[in-house]
Amino acid sequence: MRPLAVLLLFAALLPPPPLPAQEAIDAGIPASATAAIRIWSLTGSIRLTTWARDSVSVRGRVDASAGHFFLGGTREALKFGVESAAGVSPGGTADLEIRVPAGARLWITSAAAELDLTLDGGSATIVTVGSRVRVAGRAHDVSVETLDGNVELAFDGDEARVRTASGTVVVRGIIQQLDAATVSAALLIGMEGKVRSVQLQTTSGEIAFKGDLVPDGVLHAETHGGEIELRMPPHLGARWHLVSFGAGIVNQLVRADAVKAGPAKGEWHFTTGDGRATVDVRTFKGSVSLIPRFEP
Amino acid sequence: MNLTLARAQQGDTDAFRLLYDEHVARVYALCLRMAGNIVEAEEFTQDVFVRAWERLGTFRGESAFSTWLHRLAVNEVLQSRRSRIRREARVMPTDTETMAQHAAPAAVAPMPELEQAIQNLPDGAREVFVLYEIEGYQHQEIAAMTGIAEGTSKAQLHRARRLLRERVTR
Amino acid sequence: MTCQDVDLQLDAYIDGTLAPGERAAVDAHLTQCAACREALEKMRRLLLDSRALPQSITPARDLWAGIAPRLAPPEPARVPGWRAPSSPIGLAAAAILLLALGGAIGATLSHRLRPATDTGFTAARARYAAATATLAEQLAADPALLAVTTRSVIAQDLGILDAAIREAGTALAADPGNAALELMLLAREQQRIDLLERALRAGRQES
Repeated sequence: MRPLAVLLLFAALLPPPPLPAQEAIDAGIPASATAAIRIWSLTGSIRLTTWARDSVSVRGRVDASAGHFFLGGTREALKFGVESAAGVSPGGTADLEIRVPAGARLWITSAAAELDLTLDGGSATIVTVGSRVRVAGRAHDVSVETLDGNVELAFDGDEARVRTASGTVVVRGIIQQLDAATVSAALLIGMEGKVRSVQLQTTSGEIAFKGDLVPDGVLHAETHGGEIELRMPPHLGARWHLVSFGAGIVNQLVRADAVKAGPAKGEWHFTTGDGRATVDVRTFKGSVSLIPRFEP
Repeated sequence: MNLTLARAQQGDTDAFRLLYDEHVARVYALCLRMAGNIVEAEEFTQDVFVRAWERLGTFRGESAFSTWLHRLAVNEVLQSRRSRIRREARVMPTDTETMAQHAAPAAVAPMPELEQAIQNLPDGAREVFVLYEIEGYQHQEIAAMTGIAEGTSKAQLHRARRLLRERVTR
Repeated sequence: MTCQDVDLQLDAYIDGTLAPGERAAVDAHLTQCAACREALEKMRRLLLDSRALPQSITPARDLWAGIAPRLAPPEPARVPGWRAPSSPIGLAAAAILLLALGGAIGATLSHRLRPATDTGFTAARARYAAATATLAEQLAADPALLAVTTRSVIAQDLGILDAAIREAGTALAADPGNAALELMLLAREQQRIDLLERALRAGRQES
């Protein structure tokens, strides 16, 4: 018998390693329709949906090495999650299924837990280190801050603010006021509706925007070295202002003779239609493409 | 934020002149229709830009600059008119229907009939008509801006529409 | 329904704010009354014409001459990201933020929130430099603050930001006073501050 086979046989005869100790969670607590809810869980996953009840329900499992589950507070303000021992990085995982009243205001703090939220009104403020974050449904306003987690906003709503360092941001919902910035990751924005205000900023990440503005809408895209691609309807009435110091501008929106240089070096401007909206594009050395977008 | 705007916000009057050039016709059109006469319209336009300069720091870029300026212009004109009417009430009758005719310089190019008819509407009816029909505000917003009741706004609009229908021949 | 009734309801009819029942009554009258139909048509035409009036009218004379002398020097310039909270609520919120973030970042923030007396690009850059140094020291002081992988993510992004700041700085040296370049450079400085602050917050979360 060869040594490897001996080892395998030996391994098979050993008892299986013990599963990490787990805590099963099944908790409920009354909450007002617009309660302020703080959720704390560093690792594992959180799936959060809303319901038309005045209560919060939490189900799931928490590895003992991830910490222990806690829940407390009043109907108006409550707090729950998984608390790890002070100074110890959580080892295991914690998976939580959460239901909250539709109008709840949420604050979620995490390090690496996958966050999947489907909202129906209300608001959410999410602060993480590296969590993947997805928000769907409808929301009044959503704010996400992460270092290298990827963020996907697939909800329709009034306002969203996203900050990442190297986490990609994808926006698929229709958000009236969007403010998104990364350092090195891409901002990929595709909105099937007219919106009021879009502010996009990166240092080296690509900016791709496909969408439309309301008549007085505003779009600002600013980058140092990322590529900027804007796909906008040719009938949009807007004043366009472009600044580029070292990169090419591909402009398929208007005829070249409509584009005027100035007032300063590296600046161009032109007007389409009634010129009511504002599109402001600034890049140091990233290329800019302005591409007409036709309805499918 | 637009560069010209950023420069103007930092106190560059040349940049502000560019903003003036870009927006003056829009502001003047509003002032002319709200005031109903050229003399006041010119004064109001100047007041609006001075006010805009003073308040430029409060513009945060949440809306387009043109929207911000337009809103500021509406408020400025309404306020100026209110204080002026109060001032003039002490010394002269405030029938601006006749005032408008006196004030309009003869040398100015002839105006389309409808434009003229709007300018000749009584003050209250004209303000509501311009804000509602031309500028697209709702009664609720007009009520909030002018300090009249929503019902009054509707009544003034009704009155303006009827007067115009009588006065415009086409 | 009489012609007078219809005339009274014409506005609501045109604006589409009549209740369905009332609308039907007006419609019924209109089918029978040519005079009211004509009045309605004329009103519709009038309103269409009004809405089609030009949004812009050029004044007959240059009005700038009456504006320029009245332009007083503005309040101190605002640099993006350096706004001092002006209202009591703003100050209260800032104070709460300082408490929440703890001493080290607090010191930096209070530095940033101090009302700007010295304004302009150079002064703004000096303030960014001071704030950046404080934050970077703070981050370096505790090597255990962040997980190794997080630390490398931040180091990489800081490298990208530093390179961008150097590039924009070189371009600005060749074209001093270029406002667009100044704004872009300050935007990068602000991103660097934001990244450092977020890294410190993340560190507190991880540990």
